[in-house]
Parts: sequence; structure tokens; C-alpha cells
Amino acid sequence: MTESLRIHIKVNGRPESAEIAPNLMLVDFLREHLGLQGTKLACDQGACGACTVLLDGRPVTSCLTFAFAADGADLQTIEGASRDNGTLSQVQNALHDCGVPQCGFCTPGMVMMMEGFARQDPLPPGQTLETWMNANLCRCSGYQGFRRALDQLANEAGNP
Amino acid sequence: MLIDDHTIAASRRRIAGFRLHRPVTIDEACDLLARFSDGAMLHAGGIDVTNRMKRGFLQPHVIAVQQVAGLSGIRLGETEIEIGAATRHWDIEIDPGLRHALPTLCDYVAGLGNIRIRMQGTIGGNIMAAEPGYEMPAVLAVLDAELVFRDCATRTERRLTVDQWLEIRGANPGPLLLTSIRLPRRPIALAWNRQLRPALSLVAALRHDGTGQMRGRMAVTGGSSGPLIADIALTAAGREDPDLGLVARAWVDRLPLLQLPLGPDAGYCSEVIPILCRRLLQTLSKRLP
Repeated sequence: MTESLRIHIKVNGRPESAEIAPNLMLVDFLREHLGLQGTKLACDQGACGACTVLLDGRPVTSCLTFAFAADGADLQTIEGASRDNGTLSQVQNALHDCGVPQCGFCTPGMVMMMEGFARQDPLPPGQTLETWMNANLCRCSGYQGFRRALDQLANEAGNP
Repeated sequence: MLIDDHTIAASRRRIAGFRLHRPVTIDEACDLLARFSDGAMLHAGGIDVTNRMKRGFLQPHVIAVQQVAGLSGIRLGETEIEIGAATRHWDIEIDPGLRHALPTLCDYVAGLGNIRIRMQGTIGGNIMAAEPGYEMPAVLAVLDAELVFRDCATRTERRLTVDQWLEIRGANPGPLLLTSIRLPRRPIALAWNRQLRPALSLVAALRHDGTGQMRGRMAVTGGSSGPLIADIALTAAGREDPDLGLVARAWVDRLPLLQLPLGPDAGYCSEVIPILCRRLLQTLSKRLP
């Protein structure tokens, strides 16, 4: 019989606690237990990035992360990406302005990756948002839109 | 209510149940590893372990070592650099002390996988996964690193070179817990070529040995379950040899290419590896301290 354990996670600033089985994946905990279905499950093997969330500020694939591994962590999902007043974040605005989402399935993971990049301090030499985004796949192949959004973000940061 | 996989509709690759252990000291982790022996898997970053479990490779016990004190972090000594086995790749990339002491290693690690893998994956996991395309064993081999294990059966420390580890790992070496990686702290040039990754990638190091000679180590990744390693000694005159192609050919001839069961065919390798090696030599000759 599988042993259970209790985990405590802060999700989008809100403390959560649950009794889970050790084999529960983080993506399932978010989607099925907390009802946060903005995080998508696609390849289920950590390759596509659709399930990206921020674990203590770092982007991770929630399909390859056991829920127990997030015990005690500060987790952010796409539901927590907007500003506190409910308006879109700078990243979300850029994607909206550039008409990026097509089917929309990869978009939450893309947004979380961009948000994760913005939070890294310091960044080692050679790290760019563009190289980070290589880790995420769009099955609509809508990469030109993402490129425009990246350019817009760079312009807004005064770094065209 | 207990949340388990029976309540989950979306997950397409379910992992069967297991008993989870979360030790907080190396001794506790070692106790568990000795007690459950072949029936346990270690979980640190978890990328490979989880993917293997999704493919059906299961063990009744999982020992999560991410919280074990002393398994993570980078310590710079006067003669050695020690990297904890559970240190994540990203933490190697951004460590200011390591970037000062051995910046090319930080740059090398920055080219592994993608950013999520580097944020989540650990150096120990990269070594112990024994996947053909994984590159940390290669770079550690050319830097003459030692892998420090705790032998959980005898409670003693074992320090093995990467070459020694590659030799014994398939022969059931017993319950070993990789605790850290130790690198000699000395001037060394490091260069790599990943143009053909994952089929092939090369990394090489060159250093003065203090006797007027230079010692070179090259490792080729991608063709077998571990890196293929070749050593070469060059005289000072060899460094200035204008025909780097000849040096590259001599170096590549020392590779055990016949042990390439998984990668590109040997004929292709024999053509392309010397070309990549010559490019590495050009870079190394510029970087040599």
C-alpha cells in the first residue's frame, strides 16, 4: 500500500495543504485538486514546456515534478501571473498585443517561462530570453508572434 | 481526502505507487539505501527518475535526497573545488566563486539541455543517469574530477575517477551514494564542440603538467552509455605544430571507437571526429594559460 503524506505549498500567494499520495504529479495536484487548469499537460515527459510553473521562482515542468517535491515551496502558476488588480502583466500584454495565442495550449507555459526569466537575478553571461524560450514548443508553430512579443518586451525594457 | 492517482483523469502516464522516504542527513540516506538495496531509487532533481518511472521502471522505495544536508552547494578550496551531488546545474552556472575559478565549466554547464532541465536537474543525476547523450561525465573526466561516494555497506568514503566509475558501475558496485564531485583547482584550458549533438559532442582539456609537457584529455559523448576518453601528451613543440590535423588524428586514434553500439556508425565517426578535434585544438591553443 502506498504511504500518504501531507504537503504544504503556497500557490499564487495562498497557502494550501493536502494529503497526497507520493506518486501524484504536481500538474495533477494543480489541475485536479486545486482546480487551476490553466497549467496544461501536453507531452507528459518534460519536453514541450506547456506545464511550466515557477517553483520558488524557477521554471520547472510540473509533469515531471512530484507534488511532494514542492512541499514547502512558493509556487506560481499562470493564474497568478496577472497583476494584483487583475490586469494583465507586462508579458501577457506583449503576447496579447502581438496576437500570439493561436490554439492557446502552449501559452501558459510560455508566459511562465517569460515571467521566470524576468525574476532571475543575477543572470549569467549569455543568457537571453530568446535562448530560454528555446525550451518551449508551440504546436501551431506560431513562433513569429512570440518573436514579435519578445521584441516588444525588449523595447519596453530599453534594450532593443 | 487523500489525493492519489485514482482521482486523476488527465494524467496519461501514471506511475505506480511507491513508498517515499525523505532523509535529511547523509547517514539516514545511506541507511535507507543499504536497507532497501536494489529495491530503491534515489530522487534529487527527479527528471530522469520520473521519466523512467513513467516508462515503467519502478521500485517499491523512492529516497528523496534533495533535502539532505551537505549534498548541495559549491565549496572552493585552495587545491580543490567540491560540488555537492545534488547541486542543480543552474546553481553551477551562476555561482560567482566557481565562475571566477573555472569560468569555462560554468559556460559548459550553461549549454546542457534547456533552462528548465538546468533549473531542476542535478549534477549527480546527470552522472548517475548513465544516458548516452549526457555530458557531465565527459567534462568531469577531462577535468580529472573525482566522484566521492559513500559506500553504504561499509560506511566508508570511496573516491573514484570518472574512468574508474565507468568501469565498475555495470558490475553492481553495491549501495553507493554519490555525495560530491571534486575537481583539482589548477590552470586548465577547456573547449567543446556540440555541433552534432546529441549524436556526437566533444569536450577536451589541455594543461601544462609541470615537466615541460602538456597533457590533453578528450571525451566523446553520444555513442555509448558513457563517454569515450582518450589521453595525449604533447611536447611544447607539439603545441606550436602548425599541422593541428595530425595532432588531432593522433589523439582520435586513441579513442576506443569500436565500442560505439548506440551512436552513429564508426565510419562516420572516423571522418568527423578528427575534424571536430582539430577545431578543439585551435580553441585550446588560444585558451591555454
